[in-house]
Amino acid sequence: MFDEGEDRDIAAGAAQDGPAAAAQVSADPTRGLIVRDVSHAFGGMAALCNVGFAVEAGGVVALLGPSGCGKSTLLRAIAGLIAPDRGEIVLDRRDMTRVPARRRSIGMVFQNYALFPHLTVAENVGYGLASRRLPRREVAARVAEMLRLVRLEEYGARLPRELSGGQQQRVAVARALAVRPSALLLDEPFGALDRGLRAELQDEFIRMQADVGITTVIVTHDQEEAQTVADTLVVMHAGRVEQVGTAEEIYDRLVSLFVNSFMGHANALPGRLAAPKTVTLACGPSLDLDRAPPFPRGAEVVVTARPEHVALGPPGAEGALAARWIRAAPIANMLSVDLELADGTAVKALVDRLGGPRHAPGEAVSLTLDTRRMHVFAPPRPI
Amino acid sequence: MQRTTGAIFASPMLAMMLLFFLAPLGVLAVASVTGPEGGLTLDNYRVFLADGFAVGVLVDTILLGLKTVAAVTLLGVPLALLYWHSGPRMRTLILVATLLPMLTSNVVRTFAWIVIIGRNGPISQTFVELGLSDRPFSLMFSETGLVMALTQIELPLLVLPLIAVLSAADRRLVEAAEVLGADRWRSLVTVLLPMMTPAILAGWVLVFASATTSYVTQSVIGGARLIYMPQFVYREVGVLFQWPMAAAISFLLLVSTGIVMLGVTILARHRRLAAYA
Repeated sequence: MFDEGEDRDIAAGAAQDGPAAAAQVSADPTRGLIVRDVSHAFGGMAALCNVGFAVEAGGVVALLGPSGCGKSTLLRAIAGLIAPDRGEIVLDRRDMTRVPARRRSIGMVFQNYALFPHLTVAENVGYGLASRRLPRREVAARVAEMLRLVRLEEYGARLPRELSGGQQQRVAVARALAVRPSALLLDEPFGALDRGLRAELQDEFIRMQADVGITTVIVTHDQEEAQTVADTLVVMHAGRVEQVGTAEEIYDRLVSLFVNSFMGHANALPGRLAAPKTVTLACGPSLDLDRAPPFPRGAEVVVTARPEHVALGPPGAEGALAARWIRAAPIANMLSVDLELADGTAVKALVDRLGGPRHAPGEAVSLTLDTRRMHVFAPPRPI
Repeated sequence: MQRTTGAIFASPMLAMMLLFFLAPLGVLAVASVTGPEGGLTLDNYRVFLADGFAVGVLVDTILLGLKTVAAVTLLGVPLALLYWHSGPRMRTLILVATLLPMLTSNVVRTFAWIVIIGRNGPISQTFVELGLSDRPFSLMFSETGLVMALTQIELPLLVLPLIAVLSAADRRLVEAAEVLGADRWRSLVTVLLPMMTPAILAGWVLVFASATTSYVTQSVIGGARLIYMPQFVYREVGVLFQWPMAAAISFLLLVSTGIVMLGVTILARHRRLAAYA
């Protein structure tokens, strides 16, 4: 899948920090959303630290990270629900940083939607238009148009609680888009839906987003969802931007151990740099790398390998790591195998389900890591 | 199965209601339609409703309840909103200040009001000092004074349910209104008030029932000049010994306040409000 044979960074070193992390996506300078060096603290606790990214007009960016990484705070700052301590938020070349939320012309879909429970679907969708004191007839026409867009024409007179979760989500999107905002913000919009419905609504959202062509920021902790819905991913961790790029760029050129473990699974093996191109793993054996990582000899490092880059062989194979087979679970035509190294480190491998190796739990095997596809990072700093 | 288990656990409560509330009420109902010779008659009701003074007292009582409800609402809703916007310290202060009067006896609270609204009380003094009134005045034996006292006494009955509802309220609804361009007034009227409505209606029922029947406050502050239904009933029972008449009047009071409360309750059942209830 990712085996174009070009040069791959075997190591990208320590995580970037400070303004350097405020990577800029190529953006049309006249339109779109730019977040620059935004910092914010809640009662002395830093929630955002020099965060920056840009979305070109009509683009979709996903703010991706574990809970508590600051992604929702950042979204609220863009919406104007909090005023950040420092930094700038520019939308279509207008500095929005000090503009109150009600005059920002931003559409927002809240987590769990925050539909007004005492208003009908049509009144919910028309709420923003009525706030702008548009004539009744215009409001009704726009509401009908929006309900058509989300395919809920028949549901205008219902109350939100009379709708299913998926329908409520579509009402929330219609309500946000009805006022023709300059940007659309979504906070975990698919989080409350079950798996099948989520996929369906994601597809529908992508289609609709392309139709409307609105600059969109979506907050999610689900890496698959981010990859499905967004063109650009902003991976956040502990209030900082770790990496910005397309899903493939990030997957292949990881800047930090955090991104590596967050984007798909990463087998992390601690070790020490014994020679410029040789890592001695903590569990014993040494690995020869095809490139010298940018660390001094003797430095503590963490080597990571994706499950699909772990190959299994018979026990005792030369240059391989000894391991025990723990359990296996089928994923389509692959088999996800949990293994344990001699020192107890857990390793995941992804092998062919048909014709691949099969063992009973507890049996000895050996595993070989694809050294060309490995990454070497500094060990994680305690946060 | 579940139904019977529930009934078993509810039975002490049901037995008590039956013995000490419904049965006496039945006795009252029978007494109210019993003539002097023991036959069935509606004379008691006829006499009451034909008496202009008596009907006036009934109307005054209901008006007193409505005025108290209005005053409590005007004071209680902003107080609850203040609570919602405050930090933890202010919240405790509001809660304690609201609850404290409930911990004192109704008689003590009422007598405190005599001091406050009397000729030499702080209200009269303040008005004189500010030049708003030429000479000291007393609000004793006036409906204004009575409504003031009742408002303070009944305030917790509205504020406490409101605080309970607002504490559980979803603040994101207000944020959603804000992002959709609503100014403060619009979000108050279209989001916060609907959210508070079930609690306000529940509070209205409590305040109305309590204000129309508060014998102590009504008779101490209203004095002999202002007569409301509870005193009227007492007069029939204790002074005139007209028990069947008293029973009939009690029933009329029960029915008329019942109608007001039923109206409010039906309002609270509206399908738009069901989501908040």
